[in-house]
Amino acid sequence: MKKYLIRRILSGILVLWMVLTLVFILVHTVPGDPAQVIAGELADVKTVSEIRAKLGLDQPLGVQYWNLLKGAVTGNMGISFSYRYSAFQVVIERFPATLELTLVGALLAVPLSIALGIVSALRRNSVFDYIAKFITLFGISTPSFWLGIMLILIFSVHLQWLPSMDKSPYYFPQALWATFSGKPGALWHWARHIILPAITLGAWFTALIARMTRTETLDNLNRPFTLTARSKGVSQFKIIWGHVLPNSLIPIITIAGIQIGILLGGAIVTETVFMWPGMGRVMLDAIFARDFPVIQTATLIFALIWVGINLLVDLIYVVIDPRIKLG
Amino acid sequence: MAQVALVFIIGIIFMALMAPVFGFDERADAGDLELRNLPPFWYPKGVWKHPLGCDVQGRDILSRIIYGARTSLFIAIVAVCISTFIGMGVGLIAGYYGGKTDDVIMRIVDAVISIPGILLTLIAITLWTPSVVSVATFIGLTHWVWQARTARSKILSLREEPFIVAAKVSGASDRRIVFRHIIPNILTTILVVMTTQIGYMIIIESSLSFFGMTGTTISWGWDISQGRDYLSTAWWITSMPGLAILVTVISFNILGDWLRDVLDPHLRV
Repeated sequence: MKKYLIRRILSGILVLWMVLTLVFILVHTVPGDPAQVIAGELADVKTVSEIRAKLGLDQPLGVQYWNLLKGAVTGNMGISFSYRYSAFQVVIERFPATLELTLVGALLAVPLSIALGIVSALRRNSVFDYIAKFITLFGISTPSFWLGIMLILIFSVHLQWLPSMDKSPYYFPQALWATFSGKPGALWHWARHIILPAITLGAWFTALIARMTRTETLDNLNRPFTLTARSKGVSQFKIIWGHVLPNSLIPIITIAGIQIGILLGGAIVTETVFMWPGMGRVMLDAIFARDFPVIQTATLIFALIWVGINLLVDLIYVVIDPRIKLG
Repeated sequence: MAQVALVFIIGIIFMALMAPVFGFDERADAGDLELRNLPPFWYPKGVWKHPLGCDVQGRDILSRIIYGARTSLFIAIVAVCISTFIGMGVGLIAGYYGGKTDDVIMRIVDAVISIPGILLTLIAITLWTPSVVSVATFIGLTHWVWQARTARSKILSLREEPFIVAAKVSGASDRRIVFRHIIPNILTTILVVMTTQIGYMIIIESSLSFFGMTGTTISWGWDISQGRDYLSTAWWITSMPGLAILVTVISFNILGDWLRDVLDPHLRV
């Protein structure tokens, strides 16, 4: 187990190194001069060379690359051009907002999608199955920015039930705390602000997992172990809960773990539509402003989350399926 | 359902190709400020000449949707071709040679997959000058991972099949085995993945256009972003192009599902 963990962490570091290298290559194969791009086409030579010196772009490529790697380890990724303080700080400050949004989105998506998938597999070709199929097809085919705008149109503009942008000043634990210490509206205020972005973010994921759950469940319902259990008179509930679901979950969480990148990418879009003050939006702003230190930091953090979640997925395997031994 | 989807896809490709012939390109560009935010035909103020209404600059929304289909479909199809070419190549090498080669390639795949694809595309596009062709290329270059994984897993199981082993034993070259035996056997799978991927690429393209990053203003995503400020007064400006995306992507997905059921029922996409 320990050996396995060490190996996984090493390969995670390898992935992060490759991500950094990839971004480095991308930034440095730009046709033309990044400093010129940042300064604008009309800037004079002096300004451009000043910017170049400030970015360290006048140093040899090897030195720049080394500085980037060193920075990634020490958390010193340079000074953000637009915010004028540590890029690492800029990104990390916005990390909790993205984390909260993604977690709520995933918490809405996972139970709903697994239930949807199982029931439509059990009631195959029933009206419910068709409705579920329609919902999931809709879910994987809707661009999330448009879904977000449509939700705003319905719930904010027409019904005026929910706010169309911004985040509650509280995070969930704070909101919970405030609710029990004299501010009864805090939790409601928190929920009202997060519900539309979370649905927008989770819709695609819900549809994806529901589709996979349905396929996997159908597959496992006809496996010998299910038939054996059934012939022994095990109840339907126990068959599903004890035999079919655990066997279906392995491929589902594998895909879910791999696709978490898409969920994080979705955060960029969702946060922009709902003015959510998270990493995704800061990333997009950085891309528009060509704020390279922030772009590099945010990319690294996105990759770090992906590596972490996929390590977690491997550990979950052991819990779900005792046959799997890591190492 | 699959027939309906196929007819719709053929229809929209036909309309997109023929748009200039029917004059949709001129109508999509010609604004008339008197028609600003004109509602669709079922409103009392709506007119049949502009069935889906007009946008902020008084341009016919239906024409813009038809003309905008060119951007979306072109980018999606070119991107899928590029990503399939790369993905198949990478998957082939990893799956066929196995061992160390496979390990190295799969780590690279891990690195690519761990950055949200849209992020990678965004970074690439901002650094280079965006145009329809460069955007299509970048989406293709950053989204080949699914094809690679699918091709690889397919080849891993193919490699052990008796006919491949027999070919190897009888001294066939790697090239012959790959081109005569392996590629024909994974083509159907790749076709299924490609069809489903087109829908996904359309969504990626429209997201990029929504951010104004594809270098063109004739596009569904761009029109959606333009109508955002008028949600309360003219909901159709934003809703109609979105519906166009939705229906097109659903059609590709239905077609993909149907192809999978017919050609390769065990595939999980």
